[in-house]
Amino acid sequence: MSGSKIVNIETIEFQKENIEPRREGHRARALEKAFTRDPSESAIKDIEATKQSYEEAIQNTGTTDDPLEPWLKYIQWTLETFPQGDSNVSEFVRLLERCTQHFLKDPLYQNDIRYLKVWLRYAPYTNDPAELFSFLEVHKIGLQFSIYYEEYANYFESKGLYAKALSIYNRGQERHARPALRFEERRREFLYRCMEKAPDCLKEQTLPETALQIKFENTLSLGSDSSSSS
Amino acid sequence: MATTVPTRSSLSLKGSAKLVSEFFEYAVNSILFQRGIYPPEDFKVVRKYGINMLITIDDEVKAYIRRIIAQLHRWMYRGKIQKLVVVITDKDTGDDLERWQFNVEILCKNEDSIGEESKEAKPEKEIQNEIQALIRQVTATITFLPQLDTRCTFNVLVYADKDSEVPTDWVDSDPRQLQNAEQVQLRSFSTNMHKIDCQVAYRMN
Amino acid sequence: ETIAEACGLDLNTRILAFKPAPPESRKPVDLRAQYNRPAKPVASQVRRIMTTPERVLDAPGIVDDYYLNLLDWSSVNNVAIALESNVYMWNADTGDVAALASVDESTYVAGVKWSQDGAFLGVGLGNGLVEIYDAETCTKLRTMAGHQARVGVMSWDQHILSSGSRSGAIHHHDVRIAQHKVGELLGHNSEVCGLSWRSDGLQLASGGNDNVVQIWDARSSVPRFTKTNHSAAVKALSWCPWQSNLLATGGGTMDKKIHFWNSTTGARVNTIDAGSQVTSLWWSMHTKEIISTHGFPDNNLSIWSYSSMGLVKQVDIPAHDTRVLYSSMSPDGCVLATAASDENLKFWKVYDNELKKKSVVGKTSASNMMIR
Repeated sequence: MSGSKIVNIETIEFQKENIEPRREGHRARALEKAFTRDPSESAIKDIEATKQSYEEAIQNTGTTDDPLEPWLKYIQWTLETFPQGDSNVSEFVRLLERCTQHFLKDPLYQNDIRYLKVWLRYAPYTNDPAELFSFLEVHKIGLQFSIYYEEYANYFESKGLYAKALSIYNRGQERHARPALRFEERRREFLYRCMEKAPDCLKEQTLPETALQIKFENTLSLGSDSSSSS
Repeated sequence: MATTVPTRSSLSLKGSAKLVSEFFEYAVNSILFQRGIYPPEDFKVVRKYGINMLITIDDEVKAYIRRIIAQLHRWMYRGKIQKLVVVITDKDTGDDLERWQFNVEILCKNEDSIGEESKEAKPEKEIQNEIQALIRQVTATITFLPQLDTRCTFNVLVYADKDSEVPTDWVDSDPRQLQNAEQVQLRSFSTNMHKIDCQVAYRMN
Repeated sequence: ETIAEACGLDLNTRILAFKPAPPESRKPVDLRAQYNRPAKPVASQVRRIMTTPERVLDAPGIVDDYYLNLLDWSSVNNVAIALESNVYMWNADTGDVAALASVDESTYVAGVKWSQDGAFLGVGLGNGLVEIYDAETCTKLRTMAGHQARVGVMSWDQHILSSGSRSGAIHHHDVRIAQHKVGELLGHNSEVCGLSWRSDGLQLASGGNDNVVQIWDARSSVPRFTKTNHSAAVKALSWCPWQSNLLATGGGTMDKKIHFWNSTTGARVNTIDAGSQVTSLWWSMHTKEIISTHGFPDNNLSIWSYSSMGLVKQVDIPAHDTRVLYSSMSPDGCVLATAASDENLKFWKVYDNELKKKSVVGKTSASNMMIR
């Protein structure tokens, strides 16, 4: 099986409450490594040394074409080394903060999905994610990507603010968020939930055709052929 | 389980095959629930193996799983089955994302020795505890499995002996191993006749 | 042939797929359910609750581990906190700090627990030893061996110190006698992370990484009840001060539930979804309320009013930047201390002195005891 190692779940199960839930999951091998790390001074020194080398890499990006890359590697290393997430030792949130700030004025990354994803990773740690999303709007960061609108709308939806979520999806539609197919799918799924939980906020709207379709079809087939008609 | 478990000391091959097939039914249901293949309101809680388990209340899904399990049971009873695999696939791209593999080891193929009850009986309670621990590990996998944020479907594969009788709704397949996958070994449980272990492989991007 | 074998394939094997396509889901699955949870409304506050800490102390190097218990507040107002292999004692009356214990470099402190009279501190170690320290002299009184793996949780009942281990075993130690091990409870299949004697010493509650809650009658080595309703580890346990047979238990990351049990009948009498990993529970000594502390994802502190009709959240405080891992209540039941891997030790005035006067329970008198 492509030579990958099988990790015994016991190492992970013993520590299951120390694993931060992450949407993208955790690499089993990274978990095993983190949880079998010996807690001695030398292991701590090793981590410090590695961290230092990542710090140097993000400082010395003078000649590289893609200065964001060492930052992304640093973030990835931090994620895998500290399954618990942020702490005074991992300084994970601080790292996200530094990275997002660093490239804020860099036109190279304004429409780079990788940079947007760093912002989106940072969002849940801020006091007011909605503020962060409108900040991105002002700075025109990642506004062409479907995921920006999905996450923005998700935030409102999780607070029960369906009308606000709807307006975000509408904005994404106006701006032709891409990938188009994915955006349309997410939007339809949202409209379906909206129909179920907050139908009133759809009334004020000129009902999008797809939503009506969903309403009358009742049983919903989410085949990709139906969404390609738009 | 209660209907076929013999009152005497050991489970017969028949009883063991039944128990294992039933376990697969619950295991498949657990995976479908946990991985969000069907919405949570399509499942209900039932008490099984001394813990709460979730099974589908959607008649179509229930019938679909039953058809698989019924055939599985036939193969199991004849000792023809080596593995049961549940593959989770992205509906739109067709990419396989996750692969749950249950290995079936037949501990005692010789029926004669079974009849004489030469083997020491494994208490039902012990089997139940082992299944409980395995299910708990299946539950714990959500702590590290990636969220499936595209619409997914599933397929069931079996590794059967070459000489098995194959009904027409089963077709030859490739193993659908995942490339560059993370792999995790879960614990096993055994009856007197069968040993079942479980692995999950998943892809991260 | 070798390729087939390398792939784990036997030539006598056929791989078969069940051909019919599985039924389509009747409606779209909300794929975001696990990560985006609807925010629970908070009731309009019936009383003012301080939402900022009264005091913040540094706790440098505090270990970031759910399974440990590194903070405890004694009945004589000493706060013990373990930082790696050292235990410090902060006197809440005077503000003085003393180094109470320092354990062998090869291991670490996994749990601390004051005796009921506040005179002695039980210290559980990463190597499975349990040590007892004298608060007055800051000296080690004895070391008790027996556990095969680390001891992260303890609970006292008079002269009995009960300790829970990563092995799943719970030991009762009679700290007065040489042959200290007077009981062994083998009910959990994985690490014991919650352990709590009822104040009258008649029952002991335990919670484990096996997701199980057990309730034991004193002097029995088989559990009276084994509860499997939680779907994650159970660290948070709290006995109700005004109804002795009411037990609250809280589940970990994949569970997030708080269950309430009648420990006489074993019945579950209430359940709430707390929305985050539950790390501790504290019944109020003054009002019919319970306080919960949390980890993933909200790292919050919540106060709930309790009645047989159900629970209503009174306040939600974003307490720390990271998981609230350890907590302990002041002896007067007014201040909750919390510690997290943001290396802060915070003190929250959850009840003021007005409430204290009309307390629903009398102050339990701590009895004195001797340790050999």
